[in-house]
Amino acid sequence: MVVLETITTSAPTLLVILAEGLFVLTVLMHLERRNRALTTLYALQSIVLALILLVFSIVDRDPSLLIVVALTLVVKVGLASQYFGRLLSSQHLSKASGAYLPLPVTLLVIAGLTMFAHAERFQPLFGTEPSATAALALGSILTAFFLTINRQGALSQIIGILTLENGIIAFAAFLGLKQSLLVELGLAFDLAVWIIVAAVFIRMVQQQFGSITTTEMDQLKEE
Amino acid sequence: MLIPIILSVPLLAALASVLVPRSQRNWLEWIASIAVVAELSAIVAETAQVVDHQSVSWLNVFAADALSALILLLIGIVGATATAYSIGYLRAEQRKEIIGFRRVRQYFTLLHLFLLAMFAAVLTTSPVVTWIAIEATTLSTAFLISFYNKPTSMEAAWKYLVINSVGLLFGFLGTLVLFSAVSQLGVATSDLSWHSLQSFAGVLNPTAIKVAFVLALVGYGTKAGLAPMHTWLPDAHGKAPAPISALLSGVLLNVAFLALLRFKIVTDAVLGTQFTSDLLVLFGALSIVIASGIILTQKNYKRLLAYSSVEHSGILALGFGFGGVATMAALLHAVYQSLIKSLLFFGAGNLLLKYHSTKIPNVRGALTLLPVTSVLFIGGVLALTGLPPFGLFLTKFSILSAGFAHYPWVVLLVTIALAVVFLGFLRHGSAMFFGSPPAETLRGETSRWTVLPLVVLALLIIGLSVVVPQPLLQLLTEAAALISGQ
Repeated sequence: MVVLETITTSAPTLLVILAEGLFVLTVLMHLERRNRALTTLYALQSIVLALILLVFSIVDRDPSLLIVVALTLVVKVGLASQYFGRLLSSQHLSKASGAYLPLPVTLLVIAGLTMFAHAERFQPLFGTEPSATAALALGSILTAFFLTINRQGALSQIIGILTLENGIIAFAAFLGLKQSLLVELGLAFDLAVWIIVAAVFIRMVQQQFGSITTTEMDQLKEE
Repeated sequence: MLIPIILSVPLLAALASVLVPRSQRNWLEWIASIAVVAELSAIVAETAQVVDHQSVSWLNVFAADALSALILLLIGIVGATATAYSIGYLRAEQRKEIIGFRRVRQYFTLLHLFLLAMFAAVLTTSPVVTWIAIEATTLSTAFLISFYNKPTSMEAAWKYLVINSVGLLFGFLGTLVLFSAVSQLGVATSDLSWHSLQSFAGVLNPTAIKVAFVLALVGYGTKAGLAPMHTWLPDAHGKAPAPISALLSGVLLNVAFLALLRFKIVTDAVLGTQFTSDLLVLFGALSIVIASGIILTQKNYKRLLAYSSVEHSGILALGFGFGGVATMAALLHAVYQSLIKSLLFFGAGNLLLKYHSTKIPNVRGALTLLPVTSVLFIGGVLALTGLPPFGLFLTKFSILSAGFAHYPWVVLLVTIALAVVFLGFLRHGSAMFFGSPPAETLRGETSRWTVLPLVVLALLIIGLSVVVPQPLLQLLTEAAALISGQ
C-alpha cells in the first residue's frame, strides 16, 4: 500500500522519466548496428511502455489496465523476443544492414523531429495543459518512423514499425485515452499476428535473396 | 441475426479449410462455395433490411447503414465471383504443377480470413475496430501476394506489408488524435462510435480535427492506393493470383475509402467541407495524373490494371472532394469500378493461364485463342475507360462537371489525363487481342469456372449501365446523404 501511494504521489515525475526513457531508447536504435541489440532495445522499450501503463493503472485505480500491461509484456517482450531471437539464430543475421543517411545527418534529423514534436502548434492535441510526456511520445513516434525509412535492413524496418506502434500506444496513454478490454485484446491479438507474420516474412526474404538488406530487392521495376 | 452470420461464416469456413486432408481436395471448393452463397444471401437480406430502414445491429459494435450496406454488397458480389473463379484458376495451376495441395489449402483459408476482415471493417461502428480489421486485411493478404514464392512476389509482399503497416499506423494515430479531441470534453472514449463522434462536432477542437483528418488521409489513403502513397499497389496487385488481385482492386480499396469517408463526415461537421475537399481533390488529381503517364507506357497487363486502380481511386477522391452531385456519382463509380475491375483481373488471369506471361508484347492474337475472355475483356476495357453507353461514362462526366465551377484547372488537367488513359488502354488492347497468336498455343478457354464469373459480372455491368434498380438507387442516395452530413 505504501508503495502504491508513493507511486501515485510521484506519478507525474515517474511518467516523465519513463517517457524520456521511451524516447531515448528510440534514438539508441538509430545508433545500433547489431540486429540482436536492436531487438533487445525494442524489448526494453516495451518494458518501459508496460511500466507507463502500470503507473496509470495504479493512479487511475483501473485493474483492467493490468491486463493490458500483461498483454504488452507477453506479446511485445515475450513473443517478439522469442520469434526474432529464433530468426536471428537460425538465419545467422547478427549484423544489421546500413542506413541511407550517414550518422551525423541522422542525428540532425532526429534533433529536428524532436523540436518539431515539441512545437507549440501541437499543444491543442495534448489538451488544455502543456504535456511533456505526450510531446516526448510524439517525438518517439516521429523518430521511429524515421528509423523505418532510413534503415536498409528488413529487421530494422520491422523494429522501426513496432517502435512506432509503442510510441502511439504511449501517446494514447499520456492523453488518457482508454478502450474497452475487448478492443485491447483485439489490438494485442492483431499485434501478435503481425509479429509472427513479419518474422516469417524476414525468414522468407533471407531464403529468397540471401540477405535481408532491402536494397537487394530490386526485381520489380517499370520496364 | 444477419450480422453474426456474415461474420461467422467466413471464420468457420477458414477453420474448416485448415482441417481438410490432402485426399479430399474438392472439400475446399465445396466449403468455399457454400460459404460464399451463405455470405451473399445474408448480405442481400441485410441490404434489404437497410433499404427498408430496419435497424441492423449486433452487440453495439456492429451495425449497417446505407454506406456500409453498399460496400458490403460489393464485397459479397465480388467475393462470390472471385471464389468461383479461384476454383477454376487453382485447378488449372495445380494441373500445370505450379502449386500443390498445401498452397491451395493455404489460399482458401486466407481467402476466407480476408473476406472476414473486410466484412468486419465495413460493419463495425468503432473507429478502433475499423483499424484492427483493416490491419487484418493486410495480414491475411500478405501471404496471398507472395503466393508463388518467387523473388518478385516476395518483394511485392514485403513492400505491401511495410508500407501499409506504416500507413495504417498513421491512420491509427489519426484515430487517437480524434479521440483526444473528444476526451478533452471530459467524455469517455471507450465506447465512441462513428455516429457519436458526429454528435460532438460542434465543440471539438478544429486544429486537432485537422491533424486527425490529415493523418487518416495519409493512413487510409495508403490503403486506398492514393498517390503518392500508392507505390506498393502496382507490385502487389500485379503479383497476386488473379482472383486476389480482383478483390484487392475491386473491393479492398473501397473498404479503405469507407474508413476515410467516416473521418470526412466528422471533419466536415466540425470544419465545413472546404478543408477535406481541397485535400481530397489534391490527392485525387495527383493519383490520376501519375497513373495516366505510367498506363501509357506500361508493358505488363496486370500492372496496367493496377495503375488503373490508382487512377480510379483518384476519381473517387475527386468525386468525394467535389461534393454535391459528385458524391453520389463517386459512389456509383465505386460500384461500376468494382465489377469492371474484377472482370478485367479475371480476364487477365485467363490470359496468364494461356500465355504464361504477364508481359503485353508476349500476348498476341488473344481473340483467336480465348474468344469469350477476349470479348469480355475488350468490353471491360471500353467500360473502364468511360466510353458510353457504360455507366462509368456517366459517373466520370458527372464528377468532372460537378467540379468545374470551383476547380476548373483541376478538371481540365484530369480530363487530359483521362484521355491519356484511354489512349494507353487502346494501344495495349489492340496489341494484345489482334494479330496472329503463337503457333504452339492451344485454342480455347480453360474451364467454365474461369469463364462464368466473367459472364456474370458482364451481365451485371451491362444491366446496371442500362438501369439502376430502385433499391440500389435508394441505397446510393442515402449513402450520399450520410457522406454529405444530412
